[in-house]
Amino acid sequence: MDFDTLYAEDVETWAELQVDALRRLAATPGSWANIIDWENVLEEIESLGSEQRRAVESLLENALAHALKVVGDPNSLSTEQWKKEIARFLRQARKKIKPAMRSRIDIEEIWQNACEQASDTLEAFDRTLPDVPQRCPFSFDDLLDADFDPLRDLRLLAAKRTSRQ
Amino acid sequence: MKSLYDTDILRWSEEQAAALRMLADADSIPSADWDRVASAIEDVGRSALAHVEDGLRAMLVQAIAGYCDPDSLLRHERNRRARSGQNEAERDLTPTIRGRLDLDRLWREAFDQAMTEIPRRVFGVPPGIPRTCPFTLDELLADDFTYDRAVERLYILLTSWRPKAEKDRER
Repeated sequence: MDFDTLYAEDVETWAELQVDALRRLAATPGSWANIIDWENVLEEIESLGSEQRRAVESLLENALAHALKVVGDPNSLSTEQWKKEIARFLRQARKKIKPAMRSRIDIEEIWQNACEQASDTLEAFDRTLPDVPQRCPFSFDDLLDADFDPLRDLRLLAAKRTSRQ
Repeated sequence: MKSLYDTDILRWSEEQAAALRMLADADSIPSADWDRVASAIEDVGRSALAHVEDGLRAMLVQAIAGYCDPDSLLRHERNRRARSGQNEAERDLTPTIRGRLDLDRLWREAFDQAMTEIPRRVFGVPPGIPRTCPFTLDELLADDFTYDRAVERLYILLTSWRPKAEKDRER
């Protein structure tokens, strides 16, 4: 794959290749050694590589956290706002996500963070996180599906777990 | 030792980008997307400049909108926007960025934006709005410069209106 395609489709791998080359260059003696601020240049290129993925991760985390709050506090008026935001976050995430991110996005970590975020908010107002599994019940493909409705799935899940008890 | 990266990001990014482009032409350089790496480094400085411009423009938009529509219920909101614009401008301001700012251009852009923000009930735009920015950069960045101050300054600069305290002094 040439650099143009790689940059467009998988900027993180692109950045890794550039960082490799920069490191090799930094280790080679030459007149340039003192001109380049290696540490900061490397850091900038690394963060350029991961910033798109981080944006997607944070959108997914916020969408799931909102969904957990809606399920945990179904009767409040806040849910109307949260529902709108869930749809918006997921729409933005779908727009930004790229197939190359699949192997780099850690769904479990997103789920953990979403649960923490939701339970912090709910507990501050004397409500509790709904009974949901420790492991993320959604797959990468679920999250990308335009018909994905985390609310429906989470409600079903919470109901199933309650009836089993 | 503090690097130029911490003290003058725009100059840092331009110097680093130039050095990387020079390197790219040298022999026995590992193969990489050097031109794009250089541009990415250049963008770091450009976006710092853009942040400062965005902040200052936001302040000017609020001042112009407040001058055209002084009784607006948005006063508190405009005050907040102007304050956050000032914070944004201060955060990334460095000597090199200072030298690149074109306040008159930002003023004209702010005017266009303010015209889209003032409500329709405001009939027409008041006369006398100058083509060049009536504020200096230092004035905009001063700690005690607020939205209310900005609007008042515009009245003093552009009309014969004076605050009461000043009139009393003149008497």
